[in-house]
Amino acid sequence: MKRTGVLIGCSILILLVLSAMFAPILAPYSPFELHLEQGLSAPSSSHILGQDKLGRDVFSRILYGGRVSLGVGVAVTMISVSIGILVGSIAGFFGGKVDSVLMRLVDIVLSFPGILLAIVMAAILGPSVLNIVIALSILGWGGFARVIRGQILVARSEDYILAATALGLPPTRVILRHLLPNVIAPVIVEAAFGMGHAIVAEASLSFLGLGIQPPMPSWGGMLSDSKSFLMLAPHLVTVPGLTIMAVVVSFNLLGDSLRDSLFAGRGGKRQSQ
Amino acid sequence: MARYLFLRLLSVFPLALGVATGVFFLIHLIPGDPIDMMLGESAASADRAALRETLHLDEPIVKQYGHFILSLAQGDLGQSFSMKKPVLDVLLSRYPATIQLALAALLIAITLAVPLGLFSALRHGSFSDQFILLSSLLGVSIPNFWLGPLLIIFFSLKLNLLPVSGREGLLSFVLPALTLGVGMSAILLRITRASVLDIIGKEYILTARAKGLPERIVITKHLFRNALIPLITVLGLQFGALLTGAIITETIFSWPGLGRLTISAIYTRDYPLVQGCVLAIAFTYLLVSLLVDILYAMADPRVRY
Repeated sequence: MKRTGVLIGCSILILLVLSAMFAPILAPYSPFELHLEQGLSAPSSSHILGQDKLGRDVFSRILYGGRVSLGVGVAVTMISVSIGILVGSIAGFFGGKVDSVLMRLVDIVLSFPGILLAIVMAAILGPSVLNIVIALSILGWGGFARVIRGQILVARSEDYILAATALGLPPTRVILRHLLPNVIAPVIVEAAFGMGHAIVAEASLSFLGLGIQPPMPSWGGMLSDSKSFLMLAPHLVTVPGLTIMAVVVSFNLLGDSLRDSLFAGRGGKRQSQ
Repeated sequence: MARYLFLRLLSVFPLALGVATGVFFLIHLIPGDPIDMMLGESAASADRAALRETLHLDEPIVKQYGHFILSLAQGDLGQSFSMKKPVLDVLLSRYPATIQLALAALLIAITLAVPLGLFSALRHGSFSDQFILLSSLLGVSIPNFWLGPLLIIFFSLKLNLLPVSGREGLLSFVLPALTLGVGMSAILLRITRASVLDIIGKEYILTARAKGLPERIVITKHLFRNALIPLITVLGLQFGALLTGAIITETIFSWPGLGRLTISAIYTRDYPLVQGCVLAIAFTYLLVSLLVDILYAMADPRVRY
C-alpha cells in the first residue's frame, strides 16, 4: 500500500508537471484561440476534452492552467516552509521568551480561519499571481513553524547538539548544519500536504473570481466558467475538477506514505490521520 | 476545573484582540489612499466621506486603532454602504443560515465518520478497511467547489430530486450540507480509525476482555469512549474549515449566509461589511475552539493548564 501510494502519487505528479512545463509543445491549440461558433462542444477527435463556452480547447487550457496552479502551489509552499523554518528554529533553539513571543504570533496566524484572510487580501491587493502567492503564504507558514519548533525542542538536548555547542560553534551554524538536517523530515511530509492545500486554495480563489483573472487559464477559473453550463456541457465541470482532484490525491498519497514510512519505526502502530 | 475554565475564558480576549488588530492593520496598511483602494476612484463622494468618517482616516493611526477597538467593544461595526444599515444588523440577519448549514454539515460528517471509522479499525487490514481508507482519501481530496456542482448535476438536474439552490425547507439543506460535510467526514473518519487502533492494544482493553466482558461492552464502553477524545479536538479545528468552506458552498448554492455575504461585500467594495464578516467568522472560530477546549477538559480529566 505504501509503495503503491508513492508510485501512483509520483507518477501522476510527474506527468502533470511535465505536461505543464511542455505545454507550448504538447498543446494542440493556443489556450486563447476562440471559436465562438463551436462553443460548448463536447469532446471529439479534434478537441479531445471538448471546448469551453468561447470555443477554446479545454485540453490546451488544462495544460497551460497547470503552469499557474502548480507554480502557485510550489511558490506558496516554498515561501511558507522557509518562513516556518526560520521562525520555528529560532523559537525552538532559543526557547524562553523568544519562544513564547513567536509562538503566540503563530497562534494568532493560525486562529485566522483558513482561506478567509486570503480572500480578503486578494480582494484588497487586487487579483494577480503575485498577490495570490503573498496572500496564501502569509497564512501558510504557521503550521510549519510549529512542526519545526517541536522537533528542535526535542533534538536540541541530544548529545551531538550539546557537543556542537560545546565546541563553540555559533548558533546559526549549529541550527543550519546540525539541527535542521536532523529534523527536516516531518517538514517534508507537511510540505506534501501543504502543496495540495495551496493548489486547492488558489483554485478556490480563482473559482470565486478573486484569483487568476480571465483570459489566463487556471483550473479554478475554468470550473468557475462552467457554473452556468452544468447541464449543457458537463465536460467543462468534469475535466478541471478531475485534474485538481488528481493533483490533490497525489500529494495526499505522497504525504500519507511518507509519514507512514517515517514514523513506522517510532510510533509502532501510529496510522496516517 | 473552575480555575482551568476561568483561565481558558480569559485567554479568549488577547486572541480576539489579536485577530481584531490583524483585521484592522490588514485594511489600514494598504499602500495608497485607502478610500481609492476600497471604493475605486469613481465612487460617490458621499460614500467616500462616509468611509473616511467611519475609519477616522484623518487622524493618526494609533487614534484610529483606538476608535476601532472601542466601537468594536460596544458592538458598533459601522454602516454598510450597500445595504444602508448597521453592519451588525446585517451580520445578525445572515448569521443563523451559516450556523445551521455548518451544524447540518457537522451532523452529516459525524454520522458518516464515526461508525465507519470504528468499523474500519475493528476490521484493520481487511478489504473493507482498505476500501474505506481509500474512499476517505478521495473524500479529503475532493474540493468542495467541484463536489457541489457534481451533486447539483446528479441529484438536481438529472434525477430532479433536490433543489439546485436557495434555502427553503429541509430538502434544500441536503446538497449544501453534503458538499460542506464530506471533506470533514473523511478527516474525522481517519482520526476515529487511528485513535481506535491506538487504543485497541492498550492494557485496559485487554483487561476488559480478560475479565470476560462481552465484546459489545468492550467496544462501546472502553474502546469507543476513549477513542472519542482526540476526535473532539479535531472537531474544533475543523469547524474553522467548515466556516470558511461555507464561503464557497454558499456561493455555489446561493445560500443566504455569512459566506455569500462576504463575497458580495467584496464585490460591492463594501469594506465596513467585509470587515464585519471577517470579524464575525474569526470570532465564531475562536468561540468554537473555546467550547471545544472546555468539552475536552470535561471529557478527559487529565487535561489541565
